[in-house]
Amino acid sequence: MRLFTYILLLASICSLQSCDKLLQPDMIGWIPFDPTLDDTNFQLCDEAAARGGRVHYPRYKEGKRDLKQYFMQNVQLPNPNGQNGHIVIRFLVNCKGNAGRFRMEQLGRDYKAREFAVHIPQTILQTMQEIDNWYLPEGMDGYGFVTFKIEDGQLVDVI
Amino acid sequence: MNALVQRIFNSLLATIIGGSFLVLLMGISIYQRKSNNEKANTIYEFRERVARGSVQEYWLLNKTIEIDPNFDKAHMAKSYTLLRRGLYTEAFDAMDKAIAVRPKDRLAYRANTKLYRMHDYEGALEDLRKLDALTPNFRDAVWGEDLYHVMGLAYKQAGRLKTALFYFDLSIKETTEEEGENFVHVKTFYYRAMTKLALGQTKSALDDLNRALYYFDKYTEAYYQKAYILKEFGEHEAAYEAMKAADKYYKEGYLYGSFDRIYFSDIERGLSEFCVDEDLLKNLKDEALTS
Repeated sequence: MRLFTYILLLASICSLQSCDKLLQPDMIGWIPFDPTLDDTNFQLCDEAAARGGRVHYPRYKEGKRDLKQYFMQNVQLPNPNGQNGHIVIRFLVNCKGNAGRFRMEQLGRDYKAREFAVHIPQTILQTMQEIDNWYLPEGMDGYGFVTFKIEDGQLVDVI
Repeated sequence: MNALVQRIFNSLLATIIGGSFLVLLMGISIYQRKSNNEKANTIYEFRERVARGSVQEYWLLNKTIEIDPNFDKAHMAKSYTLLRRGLYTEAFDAMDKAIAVRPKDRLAYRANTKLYRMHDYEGALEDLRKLDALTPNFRDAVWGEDLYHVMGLAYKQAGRLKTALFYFDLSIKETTEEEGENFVHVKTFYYRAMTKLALGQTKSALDDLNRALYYFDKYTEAYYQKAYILKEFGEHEAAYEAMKAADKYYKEGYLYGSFDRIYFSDIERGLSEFCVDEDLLKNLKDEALTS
């Protein structure tokens, strides 16, 4: 009877604290849905598993070389402007290969946060959002990030 | 009887609760007597019990740093976690703090990150030079790789090929003198070959690829590059054999990746290109036999 009471007590605590969260914690970098930023049509296939489970990194076609080729062909930035650093885009991919919940970080050469001229991150993000065929293991959602190297206001590398 | 069992149960329960409370008090008392560094270390080690890359691990690392801001291992662990998720601003901030505490031990990782993750070759070289200056008369290891190999690679990627060649030569020469040629990493031979190829030193590049394959006969990328050189030298049969070896070892998962990485489509293309040559070769052989 007492044992039953203890189990009941533990179950109540779990329900209050969201037990799945206690047992399966969020990973660092997890991107929660933000109604002010995110497309409501983008849905993960299993949000709970993606949030705290093993991280699956999505791939574009055969790999980074194809991704770089895609951006080099599709990103046209105007005149050089002397700005240098990196732009990192983090995102989630659902089991259908669609991406969403994009988040961006901009870094200067000293790896501190900075802001590039607005057209640079905007163009890169728009080009990124057009990809709808990310590859992941069957039935899995994933978390990805792509790093863009900027030199003199031009995209020179995709990592 | 039931009352006796109940009484035994109650006293057992009281003993367990009381004992646990005492152990807890003793634990707290021992913990309070520790220095900040020891306290930080206790929390840092406790982190081994939570999932890697989880918010719990991150919280424990931050707690460790809060207790001892000079606990460089926690700054480093924090930066690994953040790097794996592409959170670079925070990751570099954590790395910088670890370097401020222990530059000789931590600079190499930042150099490695700048080179391989950010393709920031000049930034990596700047860190590598700093590291080299901090340890005079000592050839450092950069995250398991020879310093001069990494410098060679950074110069190669930056397009400064002659300087790259100088450092690859230096890495091979010093490692050979100190430990023997078999201690030179096969990647050093491979990247020196790639540098020589870019400089038009094809014959010498082939020697380096052969050296890499002598020490590691499952080096997919080396077979692949060798195939193209042999083809250029008109050795079609050997070229095809090298490409078939690249195919075999690629499928077995032998791939170093990073710079100059090859993909399966490259090997497929190579095999189909070289097959034409094999057919020609077969015809020539048939003709030779019948004449």
